[in-house]
Amino acid sequence: MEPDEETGVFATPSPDKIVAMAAPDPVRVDGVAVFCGTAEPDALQRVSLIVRAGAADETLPTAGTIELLGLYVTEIDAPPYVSVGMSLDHYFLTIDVAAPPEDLKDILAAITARMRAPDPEELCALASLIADDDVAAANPVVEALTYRYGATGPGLQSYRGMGLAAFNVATALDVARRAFARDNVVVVSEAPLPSDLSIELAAGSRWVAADPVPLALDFPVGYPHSSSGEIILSATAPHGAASLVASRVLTARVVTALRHELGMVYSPHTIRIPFVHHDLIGVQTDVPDQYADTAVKKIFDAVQALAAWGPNEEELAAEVISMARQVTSGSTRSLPWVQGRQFLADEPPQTQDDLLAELQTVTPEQVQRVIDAMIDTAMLGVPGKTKTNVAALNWDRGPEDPRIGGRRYDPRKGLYRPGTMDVPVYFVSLDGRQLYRGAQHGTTVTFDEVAAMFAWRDGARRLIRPDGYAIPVEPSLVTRGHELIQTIDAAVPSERVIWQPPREPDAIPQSPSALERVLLRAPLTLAVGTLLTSLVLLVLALPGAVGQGTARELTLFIPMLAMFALNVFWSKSESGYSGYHQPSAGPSLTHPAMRGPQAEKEGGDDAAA
Amino acid sequence: MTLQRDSVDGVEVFFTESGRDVLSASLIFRVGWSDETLVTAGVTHLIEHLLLHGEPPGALRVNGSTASQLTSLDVSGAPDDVVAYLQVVCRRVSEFPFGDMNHERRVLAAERAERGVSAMGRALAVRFGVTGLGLAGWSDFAIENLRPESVSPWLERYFTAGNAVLTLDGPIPTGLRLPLPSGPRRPTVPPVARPFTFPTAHEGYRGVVIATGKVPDGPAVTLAGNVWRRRVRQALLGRVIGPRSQVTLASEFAGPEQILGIIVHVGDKGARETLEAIRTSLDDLAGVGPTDRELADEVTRVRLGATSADYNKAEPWLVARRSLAGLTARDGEATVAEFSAVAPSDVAAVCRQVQDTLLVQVPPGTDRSGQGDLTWTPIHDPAPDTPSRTYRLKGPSRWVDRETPVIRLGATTVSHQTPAESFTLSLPHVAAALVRRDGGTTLVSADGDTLRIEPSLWESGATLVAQVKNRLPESVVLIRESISAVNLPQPITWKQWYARRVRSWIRRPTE
Repeated sequence: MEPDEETGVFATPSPDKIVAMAAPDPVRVDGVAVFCGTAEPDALQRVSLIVRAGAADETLPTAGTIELLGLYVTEIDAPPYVSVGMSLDHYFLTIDVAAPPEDLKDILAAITARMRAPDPEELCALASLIADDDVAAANPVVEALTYRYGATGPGLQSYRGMGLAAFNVATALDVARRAFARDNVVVVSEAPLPSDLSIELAAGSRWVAADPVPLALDFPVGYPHSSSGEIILSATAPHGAASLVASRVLTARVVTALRHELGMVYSPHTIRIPFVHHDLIGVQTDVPDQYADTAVKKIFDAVQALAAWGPNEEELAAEVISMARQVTSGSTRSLPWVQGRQFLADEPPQTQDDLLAELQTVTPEQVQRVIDAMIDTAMLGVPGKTKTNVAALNWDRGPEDPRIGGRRYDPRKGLYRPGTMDVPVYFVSLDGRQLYRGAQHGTTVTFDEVAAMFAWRDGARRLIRPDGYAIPVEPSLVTRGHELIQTIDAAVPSERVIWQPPREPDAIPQSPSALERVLLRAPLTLAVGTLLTSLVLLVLALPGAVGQGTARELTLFIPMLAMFALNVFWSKSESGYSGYHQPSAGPSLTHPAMRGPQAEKEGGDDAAA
Repeated sequence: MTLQRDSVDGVEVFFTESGRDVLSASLIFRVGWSDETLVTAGVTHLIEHLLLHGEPPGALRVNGSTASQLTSLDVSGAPDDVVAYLQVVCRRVSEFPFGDMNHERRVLAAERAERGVSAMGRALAVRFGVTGLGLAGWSDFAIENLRPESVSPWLERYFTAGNAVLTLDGPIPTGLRLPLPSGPRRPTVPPVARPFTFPTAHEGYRGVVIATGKVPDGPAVTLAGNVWRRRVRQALLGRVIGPRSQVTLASEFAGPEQILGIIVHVGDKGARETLEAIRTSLDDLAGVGPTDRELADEVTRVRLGATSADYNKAEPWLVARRSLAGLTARDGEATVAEFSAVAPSDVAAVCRQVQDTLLVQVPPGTDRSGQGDLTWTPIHDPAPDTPSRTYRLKGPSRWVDRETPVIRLGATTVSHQTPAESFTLSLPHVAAALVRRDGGTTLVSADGDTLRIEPSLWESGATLVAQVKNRLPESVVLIRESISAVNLPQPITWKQWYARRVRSWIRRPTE
C-alpha cells in the first residue's frame, strides 16, 4: 500500500477490497509493520504500538520489567486531550494512543524516541515508584494460572512487579533493546495514518512466542483459592473459534442454571486467554459461599451435559450470531489490532471474512469435542473456606513431600499450643541441598532449583519453587532462625535473590518474650509454683499443727489450695487463652505454599495465620 | 446523522443513526436510588431486576442499571427482537412478576457482595446522611424487607410513560410499541446536606483521600474538575503516587447541582501530602483560575470528544439523561459552543464554590498539621436526656476496667458512653432500625451514624433491645432473620481479658 500523492495519507481500501484480502500484508514504515483499518478518520484517532513482549516472557527475578518499560515510554509530554496509555498481557505490550490525526506523527515520534534510548536514571526512579505501588489483590484468574503453570510464563502474574524491588537497570536496558526492535513491533491504527510518519526503531529479531507448559498435574484438579465468593473452572483447548464458542455456550448454561433458575449468582462470565496454539478457556462466577457447593455441582452438570450431548442448534446459533455481530460492528476499527497480534505471533493475519467464516463453520460436534477435552485439563478453583467436593476431581489439598532428615529447626517455645499437630518444623538436608518445611508431610525445595527467593532485610525469606509453591521462613519464629537464614542464603544462587522493600514493624512476626510466655502460660507456671509454695508452707506449718496455731496455718494453706484449684481450672478451660500461633488449618493453608500475591506480599502463612 | 426526537405511546424517543444492523435501545426512567428512603432502599433496583427477569430470547443482549436518579433498561440485537422485548418489558410494569421477588432478592444479594460501595458513595453518605444521594452508601439496605405493598406504589409513581425516555442508535423501528401506564414526569429532588461548618474533614477509610464540593451544573464545572484533577496528579506523581495510580474526577448530579469530587488512592503515609495537594491546587484555581493554555487544552478535549464517532453513538443517551434530570439538554455542537465561552474567571468561581462546600475524607490517623481551618469530625450528637436505666457489659470488664462502656437509655435518646467518648442517638430521628429475631439491633440515624446493640453482650440485654424497640416508630423497624448461634458475639471471658491485659502491658505488636 502506498500513500496517496495528493492527500499524503495511505489509500483507504474500500470495505470490499479488505474483505477480499485473504491475508493482508502490512505496510512497512521505516521497516516496522503497519496495519491500518478502514474507518473514517475520527476527531481522536486510535493508534497502538504492539510489542511482542509480555509478562509470560519474564522470569521471577525480572518480573515487572516489561510493564516498567511500557510505563516509561508512555511518559511523554503530550497535551491533555491526547490520551497515552499502556496495557500488558502474557505476550504483548500495547502502547495506546488516542490523538487528533494531525498530532499523531509527533506523538509516535516521542514514544519511539523513548523506546530507542531509555534514560537509565528515569527508569530507576520509575522502578522505585512502581515497586512501592500497591500490588493487585488476589484474583481468581491469576491464581488459576499460577496453579496451572507454576512460577513461570502466565503463572508469573501472581508475582506481578515483585522483581522490581531488586531492579537492575542494565537488565532493563537489555530487555528494552531486544523488545523494542523494529521486527518485534507493529503499529496498528483504526484509520489511515499520515504519510510522513516516522517509526524509527533499532534492528532486532522477533521474540518467539511459545505455548506455556503446564505443570504435571493429575487433571482434572480441584484446588482452594483465596478469593472468597468466586468459582472458576478453567481448561485448555486448541486455539480457535470452536473453543471460544464452547466456553460461551457453557457460560450461557451456567447463567441459566445458577442465575435464572436458582437465583444464586449475579454475573457468570466467560474466560478466554489466548496463547499460541491453545487457549485457556472456562467460566468464572461470583457465588455466595453458602451456595458454592451447589454451584460447583451445577457447573459440572453443565459440563457433563455438553460433553455428552453437545449444544442444541438454537443455543449454538445464538452465540454465533452474537459473536458475529461483534465482529461486524467493531471490526472496522478493531481488526488491525487482531491482525497486528497475529502477525507478531507468526500467524497469518485474518480478514473480517476469515473471522466470520471461522465462526459460522463451528458445529455442535466441535463444541462437544472441546467440552469433552476440557475435562482432561480442567481445574476448578473454589473459595478456600468452602467444603466443596466433586468426586471426579483430584483435590490439590494437603501435604505432599514426606519429611526429610537433616538439621532440624523447631518453632520457638511458646508459639504453639502444646500438643498441636502440624507445627511447622524446618529441616536442612544433610547434604545442604534441600529445605523442608512441615510436620510429617510438607514442602521441600531444592536450593539449586528455586525460581527465586524473596528476601527482606529483617531476615524473612520466601523460597519459590518452579511450580509456584513457596516456603516462607520467619527467623524470629524459629529456634536458631538466623543460622537457618545464613544456611539458606549461602545455598540459594545469588542471582535468584530478590530483595524486597522493608516491612512495617507491625508486619514482622515475633515470638513471645520469656516474660509474656510466663504470664500467658500462667495456668501451668502458677499452678506448679503455688503447689510448691503450699507444700513448703505445709511443712513449715506442721510443727505448729502438732502444737498450737493449727487453725492459723490451715487458714494459710486453704487459700493456697484454692489458688492451685483455680489455676488447674484455668489451664483446663477451653475458652480464653489466645496467646498461641494457630498452625495453618484448612486446605489453602495446611500447605505451606499458599500461592497468591497477597500471601507473597505478607511474607508467609505464619503471618497470615 | 443528527439527533432526532419523536414520541411513541407517550414516551419521548431520542434517536440517531449508527449505521449498524444491530439496534441498541435504552428505556430510561426518571427514578433512582436517591429517590428512596432508608426503609425502602433497593426498591428501584429490585424493580429493574424484575422487569428484566428471566432469560432474554435468542441473541439479544440485555442489561439494566440503577443510578442515583435514573434507571435504565438496555437491550440490543436485531430490531425486530428489540421491539418485541421492549413490549414485554413495558407490559411487565402492569403485570408485575411479584412471584419472582425472592429469586431476584437472592441475585441482588450476590450482586451486592460483588460490588460494595464506591469511594464517591462513601463521600455522598457523609455529606447527605441517609437521604437522597447519601443513600449511595446504603445501597439495597432494605431489600430483604420489601413486600409487594411497598413495591406497587413505587411502580405506579415512577414507571410510567411520562416519566420515561427511549434512546435508540437507529431509526424508530416499525411496529414499536411501549405500552406503559400513563403518568407525569417526576422532577428530581435536590438533597439537603447535613449541617456542616465548611470546609470540613473527617477520618474515613484507609488508603483513599476524597474531596468533594457542591456546585451548580454548567460547562465550567467540567473544565474546573479536569484542571483540578490534572494539577493534583502532577503535584503527587513521583512523590506520593506512581504512574499506575489514578487520580479520579467523579461527579454526581443532585438536581440542578453537582457534587464534584477528586479521589486519590494512596498509602496511609501519603495522605497528608495528598490533602495538601488537593487543597493547594483548589486554592490556586479559586484565586486566579486556570492558565489560558490549561483552559484551551480542556476545551480542545471537549471539542474532540463531542465530534467523535463515539459521541455520536452516545449522544441520544447523554441528551436523554440530561432531559430526564431536568437539566438543559444540548447536542454536541451546542456543547462545544458552551464550553468555548467559559472564561478562567468562571472556572475560578466554580472552585470557590467547591472551597465553600468542601468536605474531605482522609484515612484514619492522618496528620492534621497545616490544616487548621478545617473543621474535623463533625458529629452532631444530640444531648442525652436523663437516663431511665444504665446497662453494663457482661464479663470481667465491668468489674475491673475503668473505661468500660455503658449504654444509657433515656426517654428519647440512647447513648453509648465511655469516660473518654460519648455517642448519642435521638430515637425519634432514627431513620431505620435493623432488628434481628434474636434481638441484635442496629440503629441508623438520619446522619448515617449507627449504633449496634447485641443483647448477648449486655447485662439485661434482652430488656435493653425491647425497650429501644418500644421507643421507635414501627415504620422504621426492619425485621431480619437471626444469625447462627456460633456467630453471636459473646462477652469476653476472664482468660481473654487476662491475655489482653498482659499483651497491652508488654506492648508488643500482636502478630
